Amino acid sequence: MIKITDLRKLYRTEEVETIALNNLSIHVKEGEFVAVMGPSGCGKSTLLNIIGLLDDMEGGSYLFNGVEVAKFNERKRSQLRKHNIGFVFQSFNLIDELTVYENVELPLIYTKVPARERKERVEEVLEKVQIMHRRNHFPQQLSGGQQQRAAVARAVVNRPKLILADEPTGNLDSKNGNEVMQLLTELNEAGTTIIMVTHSEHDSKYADRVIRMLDGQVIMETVG
Amino acid sequence: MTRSFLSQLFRQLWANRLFTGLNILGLSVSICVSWIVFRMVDYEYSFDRKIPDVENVYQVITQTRNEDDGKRGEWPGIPTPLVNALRDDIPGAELMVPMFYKGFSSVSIQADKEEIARIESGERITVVATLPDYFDMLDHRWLAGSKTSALNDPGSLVITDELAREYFPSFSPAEILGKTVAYDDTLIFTISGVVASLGYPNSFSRYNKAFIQIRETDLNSSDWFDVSTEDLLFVKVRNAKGAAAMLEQMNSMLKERSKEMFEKYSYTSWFELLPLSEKHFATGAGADKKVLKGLMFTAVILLFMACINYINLNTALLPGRAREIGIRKTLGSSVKGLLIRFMTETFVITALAAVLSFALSGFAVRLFSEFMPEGMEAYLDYPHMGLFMLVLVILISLVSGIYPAWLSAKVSTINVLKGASTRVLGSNRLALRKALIVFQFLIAQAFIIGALVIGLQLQFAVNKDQGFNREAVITFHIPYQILDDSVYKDKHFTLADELKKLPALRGVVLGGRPLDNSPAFGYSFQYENDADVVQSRVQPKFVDSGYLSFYDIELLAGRNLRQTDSINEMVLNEAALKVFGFKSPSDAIGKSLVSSPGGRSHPVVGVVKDFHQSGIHSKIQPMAIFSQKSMLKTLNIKLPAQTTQWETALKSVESEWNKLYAGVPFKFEFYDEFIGEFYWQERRMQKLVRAATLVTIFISCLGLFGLATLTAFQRTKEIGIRKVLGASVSGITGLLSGDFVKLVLIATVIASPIAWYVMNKWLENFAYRIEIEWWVFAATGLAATVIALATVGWQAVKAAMANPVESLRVE
Repeated sequence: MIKITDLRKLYRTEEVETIALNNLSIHVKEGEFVAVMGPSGCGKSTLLNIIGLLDDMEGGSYLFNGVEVAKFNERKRSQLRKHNIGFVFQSFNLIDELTVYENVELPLIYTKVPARERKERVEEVLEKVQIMHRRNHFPQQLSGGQQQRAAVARAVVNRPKLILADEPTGNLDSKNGNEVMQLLTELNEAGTTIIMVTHSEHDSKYADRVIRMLDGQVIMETVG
Repeated sequence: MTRSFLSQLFRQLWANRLFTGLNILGLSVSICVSWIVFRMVDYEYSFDRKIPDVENVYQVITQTRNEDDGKRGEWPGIPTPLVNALRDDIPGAELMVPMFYKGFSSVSIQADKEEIARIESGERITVVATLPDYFDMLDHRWLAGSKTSALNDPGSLVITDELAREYFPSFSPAEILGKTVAYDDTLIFTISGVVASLGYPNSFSRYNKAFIQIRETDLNSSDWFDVSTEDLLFVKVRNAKGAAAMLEQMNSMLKERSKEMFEKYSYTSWFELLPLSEKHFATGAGADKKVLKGLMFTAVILLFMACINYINLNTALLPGRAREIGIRKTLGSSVKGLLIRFMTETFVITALAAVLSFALSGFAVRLFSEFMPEGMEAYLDYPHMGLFMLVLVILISLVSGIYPAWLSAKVSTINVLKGASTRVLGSNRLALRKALIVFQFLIAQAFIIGALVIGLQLQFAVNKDQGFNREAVITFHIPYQILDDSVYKDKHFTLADELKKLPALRGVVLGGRPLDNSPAFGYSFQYENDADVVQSRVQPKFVDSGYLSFYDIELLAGRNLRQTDSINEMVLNEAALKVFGFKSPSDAIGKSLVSSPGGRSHPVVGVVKDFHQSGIHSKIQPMAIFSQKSMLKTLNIKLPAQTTQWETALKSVESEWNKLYAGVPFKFEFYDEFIGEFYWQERRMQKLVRAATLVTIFISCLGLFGLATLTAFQRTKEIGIRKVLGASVSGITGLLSGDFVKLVLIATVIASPIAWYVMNKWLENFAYRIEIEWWVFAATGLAATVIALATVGWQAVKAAMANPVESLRVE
């Protein structure tokens, strides 16, 4: 599904140029659950952003389902992203001014799903992550675990082929963390490809394969 | 206040330099307007106030009412017998100062033995005939001669130093005494005194520069009915009670002496006492309290809008500063200390704005010089000005600073340090900020509607079918100075005949212009119909027999006038038909109206369609058109259809003029331009309202721009999330701008009925007026929306284009 070869990414400031990703290659098959691990600053999140088409790359090739997307412009990337990729963030990134329901509904609005169908799908996914009873609450009124479940609901409501999760349990206690990991596993078992960045060895055990990074390069891969 | 306090303060202002700049700019524009308005108001209200005992000085004015139609008139003059009556019969005047204005066309000055300088500029040269009391009422300083003796002789002349410098540039006041001045080459006076000009704004200095003794012949008339606007009278009394008693006696005397005339002309008049302190604001004196009040109101509104900007931007900045405030509080800063800190910031910004406004005001005064009262620039009352500026700066600082300062003092330390509540602090205030923006745009749009309506009404006034054809018409009057001069007498008839021979001209007629600004004295006419006697006042117009066809004025019945040498037959307009009760135009033909005073009978020979006589302010009045030759003083000429031929045509008219009126300058008017100029007051108002509109839009946009910038900043994270979820740049731009457009449209909804009401009131000044149509409001809303979009659009696009990776990065 994802085939990245010789990926290079630089960060420039006025004085220094930092290599974030250095000729990195990675291959993820459809239906896999991959965990990416490594110390802070090794380039995990940058890699995830590039895979999610949020950030651009300096060099290398990126085939998404066999299509070269490295040179895609913002509009094409946005198209590809909203139909194929869901995101889960460490800090949840729910919009404070919108209710849980409205937050989850958002991706469907952007993909122009008709209103009636939106309602069905949002309710279905809220049911699945078990926060249907809090649908009209605002994010600030929920616990961290509930917020992250809402965020997961939002990530999957569009039925993406790929979910990118950036430390999804980083801000949660272990009980809530386990619930979220359980949710991701269920999604994976239902066929969704998942790439998850994590610091937690515990969480990485849920994955089929663990990729370990250091200084912008893959240093080890283990199959779980 | 320590140095570090100030340096931190300026660092703070610099760090937020965009908002500091917006605040200073908005405030300085408003302060500039207030400053100019203050100077105008201060100047206008300073008139005559320094005259000794001004509260006891009054001008006697005459009020008139026509009993036929109830029309009122106010005249600054008096009937001359009143002066002797006040001297001999009516007690109470401590000082009695008649000012009878005498006009001359030339003055000859003999400065040296041989040389005589003659001034004949074509302007009227005015001399005031008065009594020595004049110099007791007005405290002129005597530079030469003395108050007691200077006006004792009928041949004496007192002049001001201003005139002395003009007439005798190389002589001192003392040297001027005894020199002679001759008016119109025949009236010779000897200078007996020179007085210094009054050093303060007053109603007299403009025309009163030369003074002679009033003569018995000026005063010995017994006609209490005749009021000349050239004969003024001022009195000084002991107190208000004395004034009232004196006025009562004056009025009963007037009533008694004019009883017969009042009845004969069905007319009443009475005196009133105009306090000298109000003279400057009296009808026709130049200053209008209503205009001044309007200006003050506008200035206050603008100041308020700038304060709103300040409050708006600073409450919006507060969440960003909450951390600083929380830390300061933790480290021991008192609430008072914080308040002082914020108030000082406000004061510094206001003071900087005041400095900038000085530079702006110099520019603005030049741009609007036509609105600045004459002499204002020279009138510098520094204590007043300084005090005003100080009070203004303090007031603005308080109004705009107190709320943000109070909010900042309320910041909860614990929450801030936990990093939690900054957002809450921000969003709670959002409703207030939105309300303030709505208010600003409400004002701006009300002004836009006002400017539109004035423009439309003016366009209507100028383009409306006036009931006559004015295309390619020029007119000129024979100057009144030469009209009765034996050299030029009746030459205008010859001129008209000569001009008629010019093939290029499409028409030449004599007669008053259809729409004119000359004062319309009515003639009173009676008509006896079957039931009763109808009496009404009718506007006369004197024309020659070619006039109606020249101006395409339609004859509805009867025939055109025949050229006569006296008033006899007449043509009426439709309005006259109506007042006298004729059923149809043909009904009036052959009937006669009787002129009330003389009782002469005038047959009606024709009826014309109504046309406008005095602009669209007033209804079309009943009019009678006569052909009395002696009253024809204006030439009306129709130029060729092709404008390219006008120059040659005008040259040939001028050369005909020069043949008959050698030495008299040829001055003509394009009738079209005259009609445009007819509405100069509305044009002035239009210019002012347009300027106010621009300023209100500018200030509103500053506020909106600031708010948009902050909103974009505060919503960075939200925008990032939306983009990740697939929102497009245009979608986000729309989302951000849409919120502001909503505010603007709410403002449109509120502003429209208010502006509609106010402008309808204004339109009531016109007898003929436009209806304010719905599209005026729609266009205003649209314009405001476009302006708002242009203001916030860039910020919105910038926010929408931002890379979401940046905004979502975990801190």
